[in-house]
Amino acid sequence: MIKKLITTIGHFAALYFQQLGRLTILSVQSFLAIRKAPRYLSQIIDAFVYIGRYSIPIIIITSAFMGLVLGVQIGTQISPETPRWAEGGLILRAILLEMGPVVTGLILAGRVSSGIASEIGAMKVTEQIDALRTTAINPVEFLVMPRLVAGMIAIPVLVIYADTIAIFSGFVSSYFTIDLTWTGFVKGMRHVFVATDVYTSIIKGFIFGIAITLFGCYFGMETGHGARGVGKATTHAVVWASIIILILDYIISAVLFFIW
Amino acid sequence: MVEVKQLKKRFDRQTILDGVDLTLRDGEVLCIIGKSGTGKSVLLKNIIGLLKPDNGTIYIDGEEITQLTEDELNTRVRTKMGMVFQYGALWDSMTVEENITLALKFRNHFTHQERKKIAQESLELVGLSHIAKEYPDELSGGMKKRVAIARAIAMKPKYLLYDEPTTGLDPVLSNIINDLIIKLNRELGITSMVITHDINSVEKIAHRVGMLYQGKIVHMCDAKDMWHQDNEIFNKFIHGDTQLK
Repeated sequence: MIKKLITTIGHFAALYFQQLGRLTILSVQSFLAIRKAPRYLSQIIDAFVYIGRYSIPIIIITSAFMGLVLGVQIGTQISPETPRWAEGGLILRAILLEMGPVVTGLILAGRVSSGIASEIGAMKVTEQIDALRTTAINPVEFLVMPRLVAGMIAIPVLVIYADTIAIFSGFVSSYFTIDLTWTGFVKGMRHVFVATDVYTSIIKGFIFGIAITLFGCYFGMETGHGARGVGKATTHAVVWASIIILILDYIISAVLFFIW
Repeated sequence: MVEVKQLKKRFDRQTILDGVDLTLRDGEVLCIIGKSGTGKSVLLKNIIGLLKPDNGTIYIDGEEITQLTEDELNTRVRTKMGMVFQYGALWDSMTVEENITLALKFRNHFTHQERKKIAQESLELVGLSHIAKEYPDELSGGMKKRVAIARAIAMKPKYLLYDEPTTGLDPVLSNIINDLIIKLNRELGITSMVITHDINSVEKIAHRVGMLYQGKIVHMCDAKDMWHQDNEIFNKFIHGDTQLK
């Protein structure tokens, strides 16, 4: 019984470290491939359009509702003694530090990671990746690196975009909930604003961008057989990218708290 | 010349190739026949470096390639060797023309116009000059295979490996592909290794034929003499004997 338990634990540990090793190798290869980025400019632009431009509608909707919800929740829960204008500051910090990057990251984990994993996975099962290799095209340079570069640029931009929309919709919500004026809202924001909050948002977006694209690419490249393999790869990409975003969020928040 | 010596490959606990020895001579068409699942495609993938063998050596024009890195394989092996996959493996988000010109864009310093010209010439050679702007999902199975051949020959390879080029095609399309393999061998001097179960194709295109059985090449002979061999396994296979294990 104990022997079987140890064997099972050992098996899963070996599997985990194997996966971790392969992910690390892919990550290192992808970052090294960035030096060849100018050769793959059209692939980077394609990936940028897919990750950035096509994500704008979903980011508008989710960030608008995120701000609206924050406005309602904070507005109805602050005590009567607290000045109303304080809500502007609370919304600003909540969005810049946490809600903006994390919600955007999770939404993009669903949209971008899954899309990348299914696209590369379908290429894997139909031997299109082998075909790239036989024509002397490195799949990491051609498929992974452009998506990584596009993710590192597009996702921080999307996070800032989401922050802006969420803050504005937060104001709209506060106006209707507690009758807070724009002047009051801005006064609250000015009261608490520090530039490092914006940097935190951008840094989180940048690191989430790496995680979202790399997990999508990794599970795509590791796809097993057939349609089921592609489905599994897609699910794993979304699940792991989402988990890693939450873990990274904690680590980045803790580290930046000590630095700043 | 391609020389394979004592090539071994296992997947998990299953031995697929168990000491394959064969030589692909310059200028010939060599067909490798064998039952499904005997490792014929695995053999091709080892030769072009898509898989690393567990044991054994592969020499291409005298250079041992099994220890080469991916970058070295790209510059020393895949510049002179192409592969045609069983189902074409065309990049389905690109047009036919883009499929053919993509590798040229990264490998050589051709201008856009030169790449288009090469694509057109390759498509003309396979009789499909009118489909340059089509996408792979708009093509029939036979057309996809011919485009895959056009993509491979655009790189001007010395060697071309075909993985079951006529599987799933009707007899007319099979003959079109067979004629194409012969044409490329005779007119462009492309040395070819063809993996197939199709004995009619072997008779038509091959100079020599080898049989892969239980991980080894058990018989090799001139294609013109293939019906007069004394190897029992080989004879059973080409006659479709159901007793062959």
